[in-house]
Amino acid sequence: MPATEQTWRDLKVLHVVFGVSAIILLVATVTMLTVDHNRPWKKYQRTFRALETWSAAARVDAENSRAFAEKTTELEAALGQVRRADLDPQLVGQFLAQVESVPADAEAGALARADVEQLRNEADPDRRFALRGDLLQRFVDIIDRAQFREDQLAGSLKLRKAELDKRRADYELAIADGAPESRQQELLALADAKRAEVQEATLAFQQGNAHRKTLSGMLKEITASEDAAAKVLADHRQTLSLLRKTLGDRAPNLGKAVLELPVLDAFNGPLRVDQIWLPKLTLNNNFRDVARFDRCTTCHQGMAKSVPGQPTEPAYPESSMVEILLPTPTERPELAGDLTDTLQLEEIYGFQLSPAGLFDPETPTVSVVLPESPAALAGLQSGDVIAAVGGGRTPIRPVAVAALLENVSWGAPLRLSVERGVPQPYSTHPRLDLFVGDSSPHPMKTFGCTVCHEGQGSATSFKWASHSPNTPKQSHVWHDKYGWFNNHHWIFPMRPERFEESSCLKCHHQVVDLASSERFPEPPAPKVVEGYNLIRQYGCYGCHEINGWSGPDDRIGPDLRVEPNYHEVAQAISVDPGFAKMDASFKGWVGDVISSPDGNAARGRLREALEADASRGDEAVLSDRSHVLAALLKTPETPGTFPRVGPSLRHVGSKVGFDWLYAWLRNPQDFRPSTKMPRFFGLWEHLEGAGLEESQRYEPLEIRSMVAYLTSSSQPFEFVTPYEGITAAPDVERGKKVVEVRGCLACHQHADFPKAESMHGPELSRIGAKVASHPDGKRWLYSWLRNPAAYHPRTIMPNVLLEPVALADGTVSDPAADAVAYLMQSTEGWSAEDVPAATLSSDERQALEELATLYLEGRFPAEKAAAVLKNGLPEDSPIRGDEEAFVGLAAAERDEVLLNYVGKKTIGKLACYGCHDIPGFEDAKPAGAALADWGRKDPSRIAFEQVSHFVMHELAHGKHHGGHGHDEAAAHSTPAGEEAGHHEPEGGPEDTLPGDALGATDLAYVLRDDGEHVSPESVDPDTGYFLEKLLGHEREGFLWQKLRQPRSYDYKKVENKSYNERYRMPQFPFDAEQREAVMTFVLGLVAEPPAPEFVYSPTPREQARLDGLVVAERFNCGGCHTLQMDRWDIAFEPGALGEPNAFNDYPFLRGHFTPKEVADSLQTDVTGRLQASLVGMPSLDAETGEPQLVDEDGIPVEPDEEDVVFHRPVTLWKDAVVDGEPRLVGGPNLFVPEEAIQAGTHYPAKGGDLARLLFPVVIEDERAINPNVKPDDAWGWLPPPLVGEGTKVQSPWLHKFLLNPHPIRPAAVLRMPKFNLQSSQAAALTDYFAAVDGADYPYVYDARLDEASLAKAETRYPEHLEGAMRIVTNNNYCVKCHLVGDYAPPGNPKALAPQLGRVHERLRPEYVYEWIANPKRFLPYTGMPVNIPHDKPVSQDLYHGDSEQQVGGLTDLLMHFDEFAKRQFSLEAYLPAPANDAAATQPTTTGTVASTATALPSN
Amino acid sequence: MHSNGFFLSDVAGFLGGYYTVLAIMNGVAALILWRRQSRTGWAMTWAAFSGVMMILASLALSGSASMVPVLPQAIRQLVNDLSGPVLYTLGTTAFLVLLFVFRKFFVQPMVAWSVFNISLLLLGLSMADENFAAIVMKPDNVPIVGLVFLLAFFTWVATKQAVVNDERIKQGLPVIEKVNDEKVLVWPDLVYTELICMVGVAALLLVWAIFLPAPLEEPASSVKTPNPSKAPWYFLGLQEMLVYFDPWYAGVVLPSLVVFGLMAMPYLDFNKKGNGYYSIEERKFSYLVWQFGFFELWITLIILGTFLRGPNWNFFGPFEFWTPYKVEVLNNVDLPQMFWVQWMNQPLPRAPQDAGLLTQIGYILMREAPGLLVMGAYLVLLPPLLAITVFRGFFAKMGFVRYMVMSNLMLLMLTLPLKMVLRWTLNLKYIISIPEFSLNF
Repeated sequence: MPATEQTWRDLKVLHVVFGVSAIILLVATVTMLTVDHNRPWKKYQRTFRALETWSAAARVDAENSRAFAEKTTELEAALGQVRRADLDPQLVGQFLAQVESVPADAEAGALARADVEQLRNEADPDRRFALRGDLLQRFVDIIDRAQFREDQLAGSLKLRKAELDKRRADYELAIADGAPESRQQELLALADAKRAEVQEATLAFQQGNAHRKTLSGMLKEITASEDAAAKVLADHRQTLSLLRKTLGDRAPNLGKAVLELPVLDAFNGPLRVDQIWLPKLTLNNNFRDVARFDRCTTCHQGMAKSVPGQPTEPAYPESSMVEILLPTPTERPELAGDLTDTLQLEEIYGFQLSPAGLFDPETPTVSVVLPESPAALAGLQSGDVIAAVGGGRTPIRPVAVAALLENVSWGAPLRLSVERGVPQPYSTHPRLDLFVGDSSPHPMKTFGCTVCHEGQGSATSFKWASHSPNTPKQSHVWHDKYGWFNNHHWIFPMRPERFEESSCLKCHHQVVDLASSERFPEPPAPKVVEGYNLIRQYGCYGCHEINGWSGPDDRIGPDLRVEPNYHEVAQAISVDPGFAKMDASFKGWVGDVISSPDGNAARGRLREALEADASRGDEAVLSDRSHVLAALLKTPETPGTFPRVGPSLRHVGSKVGFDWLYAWLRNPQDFRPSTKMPRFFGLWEHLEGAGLEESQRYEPLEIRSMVAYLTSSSQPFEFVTPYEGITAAPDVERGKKVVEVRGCLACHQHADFPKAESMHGPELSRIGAKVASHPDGKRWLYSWLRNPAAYHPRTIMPNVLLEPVALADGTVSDPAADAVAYLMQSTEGWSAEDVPAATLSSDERQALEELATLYLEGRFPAEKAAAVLKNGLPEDSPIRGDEEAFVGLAAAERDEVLLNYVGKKTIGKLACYGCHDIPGFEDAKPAGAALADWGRKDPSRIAFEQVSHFVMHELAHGKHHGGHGHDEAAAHSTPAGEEAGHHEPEGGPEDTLPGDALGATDLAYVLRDDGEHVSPESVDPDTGYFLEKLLGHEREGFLWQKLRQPRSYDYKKVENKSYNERYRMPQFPFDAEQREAVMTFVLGLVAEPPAPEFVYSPTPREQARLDGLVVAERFNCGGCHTLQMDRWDIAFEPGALGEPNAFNDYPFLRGHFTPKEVADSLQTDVTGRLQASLVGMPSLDAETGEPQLVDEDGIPVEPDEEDVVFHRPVTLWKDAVVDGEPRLVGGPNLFVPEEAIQAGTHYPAKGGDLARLLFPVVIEDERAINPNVKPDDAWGWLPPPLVGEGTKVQSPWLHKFLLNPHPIRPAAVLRMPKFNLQSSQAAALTDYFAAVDGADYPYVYDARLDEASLAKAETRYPEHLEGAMRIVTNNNYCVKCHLVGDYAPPGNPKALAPQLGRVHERLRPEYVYEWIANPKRFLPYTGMPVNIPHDKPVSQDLYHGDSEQQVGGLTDLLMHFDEFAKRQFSLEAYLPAPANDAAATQPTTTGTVASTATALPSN
Repeated sequence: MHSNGFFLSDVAGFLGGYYTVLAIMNGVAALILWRRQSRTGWAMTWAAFSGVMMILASLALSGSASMVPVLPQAIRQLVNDLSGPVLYTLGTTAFLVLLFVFRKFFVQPMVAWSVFNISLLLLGLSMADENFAAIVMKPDNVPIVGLVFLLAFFTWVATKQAVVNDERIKQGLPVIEKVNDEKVLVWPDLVYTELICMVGVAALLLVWAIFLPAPLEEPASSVKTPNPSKAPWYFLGLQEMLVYFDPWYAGVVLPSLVVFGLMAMPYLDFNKKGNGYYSIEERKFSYLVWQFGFFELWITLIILGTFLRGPNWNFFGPFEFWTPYKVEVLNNVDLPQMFWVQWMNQPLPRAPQDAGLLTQIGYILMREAPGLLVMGAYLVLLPPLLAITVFRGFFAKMGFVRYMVMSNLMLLMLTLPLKMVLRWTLNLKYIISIPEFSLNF
C-alpha cells in the first residue's frame, strides 16, 4: 500500500503529548539544578557570613565609640602641636651646611637659608605654620634632588662596570685564543683605563650616596617628634581600619551575589565546600586505607575562630544562658528628649541594642558594649540576646527596651537573663587550647575533625555526616529538622556528646596524659580518665584483658593487663611437698622471686632448676604442678604491668573465719557498703520459676564450697612476733591516735574520722568484726600492721614503721598493738547473719552432690560421673586435674572433698583469680572477653539475648534494680507511663489527646502485655539514650546493661541452659556516672592507631612525668604529699591585691619575668580587670583546717559577717607577677578578694589531703604541750609538699630513700612509710620529680660537688671550710636547731631541724646555696630564718668574707661534709706500729689536727 | 522489630500521596467511563472507590500515626504463619494456572482494573507495616516492585490480544494484526513516538534519581559479609536454585542450558502458526512451556529472592522481621544414604583404606548406583517412552534429533521443580552425591 500523508496517530495529540512530556523534563531538570544548587551547607555559610559581618560591625561600632573619637582628636591635636613647634635651629643649621657642602645643591641651600630666615622673622603663628611646612617640603625636595643625582651616578657606575667586564673578558679571550702578545697588551691597557673610570665613578656615587643619606638622617632627626606622634595616631586608627577591612571582605555585595548564581558558582564562587585533606590519617575501608577528607568546616565555619589576640578564647561560643546583674543609677537620669532608645541605653548602661537580631530579627540583641561602662563591668557582651529582664521575658526588642528604660526600679540592680553565644553549626570549638587552634596540640589542618569525632567527614549534609544524637529527644528533633536517621552503613558514626572523649584513646595510649596538668589545668578528658581509673581500681582487666600490643613493637592502644604472677608461682612452689628436700640455693631463689619478682636472675635460675627437676622424670623431687608452673616464670614479650586489685588469698585461712567469709561472698556490700568487690550472688531480678529456684538452691552451696576451698588450700602464715620490752598495755585511745596521725587515713576511711575521704584502701569502720571472725585474727592484724609484705609480698599497703614509743609515764608502748586494740573494737556492731551451720543438712548435701555432678559430667560420661560421685576413683587412677580429689575418696571426708571440689570449680567459674591470688590458680587465664578492640566490635557478634525485653519490662513496671544513680531516681519517682507526656515537645497538640499522647515515635515501643507505654523518650534522657541503643542492638546499649545488671542477659534464657552455662559476670557497684565513664573508656578501645606521627609520643621529660604519675597514683603518694599546688587564675581590679614589698635580698633570688609577662599583667580586660595566675596554698584555719577567710587587712572574719569584703589569704609557692610587679615566694600572704577568685578559675591542689586533714589535729596536740605554737610550724611536722622536690634533692638519694626511707625531720609526727616499691618504680618516681621541676636527671653534675672547685675556694680563703664550720657550730646559728653529726640541740624535739651531716647526699648544691640565702623563697612555712642577710654578713671572726662568700662557704661545707670529716680522721691508730724504717722516725701529724688547705694537693 | 521509631510518621506522608494518586487515577477512570455512557455501573464503582481512597489519604495525612490505615495485625500474622517456600511456589503455580485457565475472564478491562486496584490497595495497606516497608521500599528493591506490575501489564496486554485472536480464529475471522496491517510513516509515527518516550524516560530517571538516591552501603569487608548476601536481582533465580543444587549445576550447567535452549528454540519450533500475531490456542505447548520457564522458574524466583529470602537465606513472611537469629531445620539426606542406610539398613559401601583409584571409583559407583539408575532412567528411558506416548505426534513431526534435544532440554528444565518437590517431601539433598570429585546432583 502506498504511503500517504495520513499518519497512524493523530499528530495534534502527539504534539500535545510531546509538549507535556517536554515540560515535565524541563521541570525535572530545573528541579535537579535547584536541588543541586540549594545544598544545605550554602545556607549555613551565608548565615555565618552574616554573623561575622554582624560581629565585625559591632566591634567597629565599639571601637568607633566616642572614646575612640576623643582619643583620635586628642592624638591629632598632639600631632598638630608638635607640628607647630620650632625646628631645632642647630639641626637645621647642620642640615644646611651639609646641603651647601655639595656645589650642585648650593643654590637650593641658599634658598632654604632664606626660608629659614623668613621663618625666624615671622611672628604670625598661622603664617609660621605654613612657612614651616614649606621649609620642610623644601628639605624634602633637596633630598629628592640628591636622590636623583645619586641614581644617575649609580646608573653611570653600572655602565662603566659592564664595560670593564667586557674589556676584561676580551683580554682573557685573547689569551685563550693565543693572540699575539702585543694584542694582549693593548687589550690590557684598555681594561686598565676603564678600571680607572670605574674607580672614579664609584667615588662619585659613594659621595652622592653619603650626602643623600646624611641629609635623610638629619631630616628624620628634625622631624622625629612629629613622626612619632603620627605613628601613635596611625596605630590608634589601625585596629579600626583592620576591622573595616574584615567587614568589607565579609559583607555581601553585588559581585558576590553574581558569583553565587547557579552555574556561575562553579567558577570560584564565594560559597564553596571547605575540605581538609589528611592523606596520612587514613580511614580503614577494610581492603585498603584511604585518605581522609573532612568537610565538616563547610558548615561549621566558626569552628576555629578565636577572639582576636586571644588564640584560645572561642570567638563564637555555643549558646548558653547567663545571668547578669546590671547596676542601675539611683534615679532615672535626665536625658535629652530627642535621644533614640539606643543612645539612651548607651548613656545609662553603656551598651547599645542592635536594630535587628542576628538569627531572629525580632530579638533584642546587644550590639555594642562600651569598654569599662556599667554594662561591660557587669559582664554584658556584644552579641548577647536579652531573654529576660528581672524575670520577665523579653522576646522582642521593644519589650526589652521598655524593661530597661521604663519599668526599672532605679538604684537596684537589674537581673538579666542573657542568651550568649551562637547555635550549632556556627559555634567555635570550646577547647581551642587543646584542639583546632594553630597553637594547640591538635591543629585542625593536621588532624581534621573526624579522627576524633568520627562521623562521615566527606559528607556535606547533616544526615549523611552521621551525626549522633546524645538523647532520644535530640534524635527526634534532628529527625524532624534535618531528616536525620541512624545510618547503619557508616561504621564510624560520630561519637555522641557523652562519649566524645573515647577517641582520645586512639593516640593517647597511656591515658594518664589526658588528666589535667600544669600546661592544661582544665582537664582535657576527665571522663575517659575517670573510666580508666575505675577500670584500674576495680580491676576489670583481671578478667577482661586489654592488650595494647599487637606485637612486641606494635602499640595499638591502652594496655591494661595483669602483671606476670612470678611471686604467686614461687609461693606455690614453696609449699610443694618436695620443697623441703631442695637445696638452699633453690630455696633462696624461691624467696627472692617472692620478695622481688621484678628481678630476672633468681627467676631464671629457678626456672632452670625446675626444668632440670622435671627432666628427671620419676626421680623428680618436686610435684608435677611445680613443673607445670615453671613455664610461667618465663618473661613474656610484652608483660602486663597491672597488679591484681584484690588482696592475696594465699593465706586467707589465717586471716578470717567462716562466718565472715560466707557473708562477704554472699554480698560484699553487706559488710562494707563502699567496697570495690563486685557482687556475684543473689542477682536474681531477671529470674523466675525453675531458674530462680535453681539459683536459690545452689548459690548457698557454692558460697560454702568456695569458703571451704579457700580455707583448705590456704598456705600457712608465720605471724610477726611482737616487740620485746613493751611495758604498756595496748590502749584503745592511743590506738585511735595512731590510726589518726600515723598515716592510715591517707588511704583508709573510718567512721570515727569522717573528714578522711580517700578510697584508696578499704574502709576500716567494721574491720574488727571481720578479723574477729578468726581465732588468730588479732595476731593477723598485728602482723599486717607491722609488715604487710610478709602476708602479701605485692601489697600496696606500706610498712608504716611502727616502732616502740616511750611514753610520758616512762612505760614503753607498741603503737601497732595499740592500733590493733582500737581496730578490733571498730565493728559498728556488725555481725554476719544468716550464716548456715558448719555441717551440711541432708538437703544441702543433696544440692552439693548435684553441683558436683554437673562438674563431673563435664569430665566423665554420666554413669561414670555418678559412680565417681558415689565411690570416688580408685587409688591407682591416672586422673589428673581437679578430679584428682576423688582418688581414694573416703566416706568420712566425703563432704569435705565435695566442698573443696565444687569450691575450686566455682572459683574457676567465677574467675575470682582475676583479682585475687588464690592457690591452685597460678596459671588460670582471664575469663572474660578481651576488650582491646571492643569499641569496634561488630554488634551482630554481640549476644543481646532477650535483654531488651527485660529492660522494657522493668521500666514498664517501675522495677529498676541495680542502678544507683539518677537514672534509678527518675524511673522510681514516676511510673514511666505517666512520665511519657512530659517529654514530648512543648505544647504539641498531641499532649491533649490521651489515646494518642505518645505520638508516632512511641508506637513502635509500646509494651503491650499490660498496656504500659515505654519508649526511650518517656524515660529520663540518659536511660532513654541507652534504651534506644539497646533496642537498636548497638554496642552502647549492650555495655550499659552489662554494667548495670550483667546477669540479666539470662532473662528467659536459663530455661534453655544448664546451671553452669549461665552468665557469670558479677555486678559492680557503679553509679550511672561511673558506668558512663567506664563505657567511655571501653568504647574508645578500637585498636586502630593512626600513623605513628599522630600517636602521642611525649618528650622524655614528659614521659618521665607520666610514668611517675602512674606509680604515684598506684601507691597514693598524693594521699599525704601535695604534688601540685592550688592555682587561682584571678581577675581583679587594679590595686586590689595591695602594694608589693620592696625587694632587698640576694640578686640571684630576684624573680624572673619576661617583659611580655609584665606587659600582659598590666593589660585590663573589657571589664577593667587585671588577670593574674597565683600558685600556692590557701592559708588554713588552725582550728578547723578550713581555708581562712579574712578582711582586707588580714584579720580573720566569720563567713556570715556583714559589711566585710571577704578575702582569702594565699601563700605563694611560685613567683607571680601581679599588676606589673613581682610577688615573690616567701613574701607575706596575699589577701585575694573573694570576688577576684569568683571571677576567675580555681584549680584545686593535687594531693596533700592527709597533711591538710592533720593540720588542725597536730596543732591541737601540740597546744597541750606548748600553748604558744605557731600554726605555720605545723606544716613542718606533716608530710611535706613535694613541689620543687626535683630541684631540691639529688636523684640517687631520692631513689635510695624511696626504697628504704629513713627519718629526716625529727619533728615530723609520722614517718615516710616503706612501700613495696620495685627499683624501677622508685626510679620512675625519682625521675618524675626531676622532670616536673625541670631539673637534670638521672645524672647531675654540679661544679660545687667537684673537689677542684673546693680547692679553688680554699685558695681564696684558706679557712673556707673551717670558717663555715665555725658558723655551723656557733650557738646562734645552725646548731641552735639542727642535728649535726652526733650533736643534738637540747629542747623541744618539735623544734629540731634535719641532720646537717647528711645534707651532702640528699640535697642539690644549688638548692642548698639558695636555701641558706633565704629559706622562705623555697619553703614559705619554714621556721628557718635568714641567718646571713645580704646586707649584713655574720661576724668576720667566724668567716672572713661578704654574705655571698659566707653562704658559699656554708654550702661547700655541707656538700663536702664527709670530706671535711675525713680530714679529721687518721688511720694511724688502727695501723700496727711501723717497722724500723726512715719514715718512722719523722714526726707525724696527729689525727685531731685538720689538714689545711695548703696541705691539699693543688688539684 | 525495634527501630528508632520514626517509621510511621515518615511513611504517613508517602502513603497520603499514594492514596491520593489512587483516588485521582480512579476518579479519572470513572470520569472516562461515565462519559462513554456504556459503563455507568462501573463508573459509579470507581467513583466510590476513589472516595474510599480519599478517606484513606486523609487518614494517612491526619498527622497521627495511629490513624495510618494498615492491614490488621491478625491478617499480617496469618500471612506470615502461612508463608513458606512450598506454599509460595505452589501458590504462585496455582495462581498462574488460574490466570491461564480463566484468562477470558481476566482479560476483561474492568476485571483487570479491579485486580490492579486491589493489588495497589493491598500494597498500600501493607506498606504501613514497618517490616514490609523496610523490604519493599529499599531503593534496591523498588525496581522489582515496578517489574511485577510491568510484567503483569504486558502479559495482560498480550494475553488479551491472544484471547481476542483465538476467538476470531474460532469464528473464522482474520486476526487483529491482519486487520490492522496498515503501513505507517517512520516520521512521525515511529521516530516521534520514540522521541516522546525518550523524553519521558529521561524525566522519569531524573525524578527517580532526585527522590530515591542510590543506596550507599558500608565498605566491603573480607571478614564480614552482609547477611543476607544477595546476587543482583536478575540472578536471584539462579541463587534460589543453589538451595536445591550443587553450585556447578545451578550456577554453570543450568544457565548454559538456558542460553542453549533459547538458541535452539527456533530450530525446535515446528509449529508454523502464530507468526506475527498473538495466539494461545494455536501454540498451547510452546506457550505453556515458555511461560512456565519464564514466570515460574525465573520471575517468581526473583520475587522470592528479593522479598522473601532474608538473613541466612531463610524464608521470611512478607510482614516478618528479618532477624538473623531465625533458625530452620536443615537435616537433608542424600539418596545413597536414604537407599543404603534407611531402606537397606546397611552402611554405605566404602572402599578399603588403601584401595587404588579404580577400586575407589568402583565403590563410589556402587554407592551411587541408586541415583545413577534414577537419573539414567530419567534422561535415557523417559524420552523414548514419551515419544511413543504423550509426544507421539511431536516425535513424528520433529524427527529424532530435534525431538531428543527438545525432550532433554525440557527434562532438564523440569529437574528444578522436581528437585524442589523432592526436597520438600523427602528432605532429599542430592540424588547423586560424589563429594570426592565435587560432583553432586
